[in-house]
Amino acid sequence: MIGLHLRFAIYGLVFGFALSRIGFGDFAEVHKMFVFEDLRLFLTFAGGVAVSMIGFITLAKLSQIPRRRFNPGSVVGGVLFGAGWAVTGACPSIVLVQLGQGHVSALATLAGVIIGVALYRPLHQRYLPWELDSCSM
Amino acid sequence: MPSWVFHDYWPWWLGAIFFGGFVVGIWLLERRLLGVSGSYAAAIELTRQEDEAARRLDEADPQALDEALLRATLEAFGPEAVAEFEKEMAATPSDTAAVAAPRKLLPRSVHVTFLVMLAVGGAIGALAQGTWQLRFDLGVVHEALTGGGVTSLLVLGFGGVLVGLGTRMAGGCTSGHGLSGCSRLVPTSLVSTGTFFGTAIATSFLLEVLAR
Repeated sequence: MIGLHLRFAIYGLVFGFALSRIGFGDFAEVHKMFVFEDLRLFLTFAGGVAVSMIGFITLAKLSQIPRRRFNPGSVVGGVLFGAGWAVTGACPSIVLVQLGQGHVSALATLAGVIIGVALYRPLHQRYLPWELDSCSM
Repeated sequence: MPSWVFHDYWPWWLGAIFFGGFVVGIWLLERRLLGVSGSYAAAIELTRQEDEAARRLDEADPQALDEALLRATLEAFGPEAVAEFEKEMAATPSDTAAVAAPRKLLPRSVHVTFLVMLAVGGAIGALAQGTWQLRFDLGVVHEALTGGGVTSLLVLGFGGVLVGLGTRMAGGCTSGHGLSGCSRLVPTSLVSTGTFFGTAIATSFLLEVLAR
């Protein structure tokens, strides 16, 4: 159990450090990506997908990796998330990186994310007919 | 020494190598796919669906469970299948029947550790770069685009709710869908990633127009 905590503590630390050093925690950089003023972050992301693809193909047995069924919430969920990302500069990991960087106002974003995540399952189960999908590790 | 070692943000290729190495590395080390919004759900939600299912299974009377399973098997496959299965089970020693079990869900506390350490990692990154600063806004660009002061804070809170609801509804975010999913061409991840990037681009242009 301590080993598990230690490993995931290291993963979090490394990921947070890199996201900050890449510049994903800087609203101005993220905004410049979205309005095509600077493609560096786009290239970082697209390149990350490409490197992951090469890595999965060469190092892993693709058939062993679970593939997820199509989720009917992909589009509407993506619209909500995209709008939120544009106005806060934050995806779920970035809001924590912003906080770590000393940006206290990210607490407002984090409060919103927590409220949104806490509200979603009950809302989904009340109003939507399909099964809730998750990418939980 | 290149400027990105201590000062500037990393060049795109270095970030790309890091992202790829990280996502694939987590899979190889843990047999888990990186997905941060899932960690939020696991850390925050009062009951996890899977916990709920496991609890009901634990509490069920084992004999009643066996009988129900047998009934369902008979219904689906007929009595020949059951007879064949019993013959096979009798022929194979029980320990070789074990197959690789699916990964158990991480405990809630491990998700919390991971999320807290993301913030610590961000702090170390900013300190290493010399840009760590206690501040109450997200910078001049954000202030100009969202009205500044309290208005900007309200936008952040509202935007945060959208991020929370949206990532849960889509079943993933930039890491789970964007990196883990797109790199394996999973359709639901490609659709979701295209949608959230597209919407973020449109919203950002809208912000520019409205702020003018």
